[in-house]
Amino acid sequence: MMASRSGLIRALQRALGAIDGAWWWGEGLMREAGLLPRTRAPLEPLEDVVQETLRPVEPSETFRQSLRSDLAFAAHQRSAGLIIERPRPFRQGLILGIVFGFLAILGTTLLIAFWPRQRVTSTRP
Amino acid sequence: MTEPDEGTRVEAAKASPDAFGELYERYVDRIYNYIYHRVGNVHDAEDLTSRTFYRALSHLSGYENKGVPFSAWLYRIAHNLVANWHRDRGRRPVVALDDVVLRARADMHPESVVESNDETRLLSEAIERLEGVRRELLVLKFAEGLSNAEIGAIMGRSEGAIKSLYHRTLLALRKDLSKRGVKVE
Repeated sequence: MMASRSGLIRALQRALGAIDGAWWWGEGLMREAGLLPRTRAPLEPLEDVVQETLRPVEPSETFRQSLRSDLAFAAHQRSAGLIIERPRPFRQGLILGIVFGFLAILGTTLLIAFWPRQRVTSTRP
Repeated sequence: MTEPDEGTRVEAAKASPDAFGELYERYVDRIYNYIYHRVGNVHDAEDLTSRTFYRALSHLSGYENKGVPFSAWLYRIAHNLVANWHRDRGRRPVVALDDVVLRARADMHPESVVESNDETRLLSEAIERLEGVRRELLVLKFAEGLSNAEIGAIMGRSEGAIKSLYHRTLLALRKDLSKRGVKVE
């Protein structure tokens, strides 16, 4: 059910994207043909400025080497079957719950066993 | 001798820890660059880059190329980590241009000029004000130099949708700049 719903959403997104793309293409064509006014200035200058602003950066060599060796170590650990397990709060909670439940049952049992009761004395003639 | 394709490299990395190092060398610059332009500072960029590759390493055995190339898969991991980072901080960072140290990549012209004039700062701030998807598109297109098809694979959209989004993004950027009295000619 979930898979079909997400598939449907993806299909809808693709369809909307296709319509959007076609609309933009048609609008550009109509502007070129003069059917729509060319009110917008060209975007190339803005693209050039954006390119200047978003120039590529590189990580420092120290970081690059350090991360590479850390990853190499981790990869070898994994291949050797050594996996560091993340703490799992749910599992710990379950274990604690079982222990407390057992203690509660034990306590109740002992209470019932040793609770002073009224002894019924027989009154035989 | 032909260079192995991406699929071969990935399969090799699944089998051999040393081969993962080759994948790392191939993509670390790109992933770092992408994350840096999304978070705006070196410290968090390094932290998130590390987390991206650790996550890729731990999930590598589950990766299969079902129409999503390995590079796009890696970018998606980075994107998700950046999105979580933004959500956890609840703020939009502004790139401090004075802190940016630009080093050209080996395959680009060697430029190392740091530009910190007012127009560039205003443009950088305008880019930061863009909606997340639009900002991501500009980073992938200009900082990463990816094609519309590659960007579409990363963002899960068609090439046509990316073209349309790109056009609208530039228009929105220009409108925002003109509101602040910055005219780009």
